Amino acid sequence: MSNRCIKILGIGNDIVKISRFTVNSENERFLKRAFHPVEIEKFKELKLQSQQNALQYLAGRWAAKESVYKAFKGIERAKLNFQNIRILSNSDGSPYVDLIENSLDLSKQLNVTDIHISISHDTDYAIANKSISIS
Amino acid sequence: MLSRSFKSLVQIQRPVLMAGQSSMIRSFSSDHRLSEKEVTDRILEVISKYDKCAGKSVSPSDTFKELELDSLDSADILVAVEEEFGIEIPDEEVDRITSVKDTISYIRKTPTAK
Repeated sequence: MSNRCIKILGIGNDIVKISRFTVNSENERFLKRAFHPVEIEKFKELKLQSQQNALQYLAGRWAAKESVYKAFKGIERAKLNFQNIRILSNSDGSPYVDLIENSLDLSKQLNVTDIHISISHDTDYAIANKSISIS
Repeated sequence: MLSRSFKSLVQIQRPVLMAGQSSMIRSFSSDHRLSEKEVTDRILEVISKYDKCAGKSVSPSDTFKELELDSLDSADILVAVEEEFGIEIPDEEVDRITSVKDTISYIRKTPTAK
């Protein structure tokens, strides 16, 4: 058994109704404000197959970003722009957080070592949980 | 012949400014600021039209939190404000706007808002 001591900086969760993205997801300005181009591209790809799956994807990403923000505890939003909190997928489909630009700088300042993430959906809602570990 | 026709077309389309006209144009663009009342009225109208604010009395002193608006609502509203005034608010500024008053102040200090 490992004796490694893990310090938790914070935990965060968020829940959002998927239908809240029905109208604003048609607005390019909104998409660019909240999501990274890679996420927007994936959303549009999913939309060609299923509108519901695409909205579920977007809602899950939003909830994940919001929970990352909450897990950083009290940090001003300007240092955690949502486009700079990328929620990407591993080859098995599991999500992971990829911080870039000012969000990455912040995580380095705080000695963040790991961000654990989980996203779930059920019909109308998407929910995400995060915990942030530091050294 | 073709080059001569193109040249004449360019000459026709170029605006001819008389002495004094150019300064009139400059002064119009530099003085074009929206009044506080107009900005306030238009912002209140945008927010009042938002679904979650329907039936609520929105005042310039309200914070988004007091209006029970969450981060997604704020993002939606600020996109609507950008479209209303034909501007783009930089991301770092958007994240600092948390009230009706902040929104009014930002638009007031933005000379390109129309």
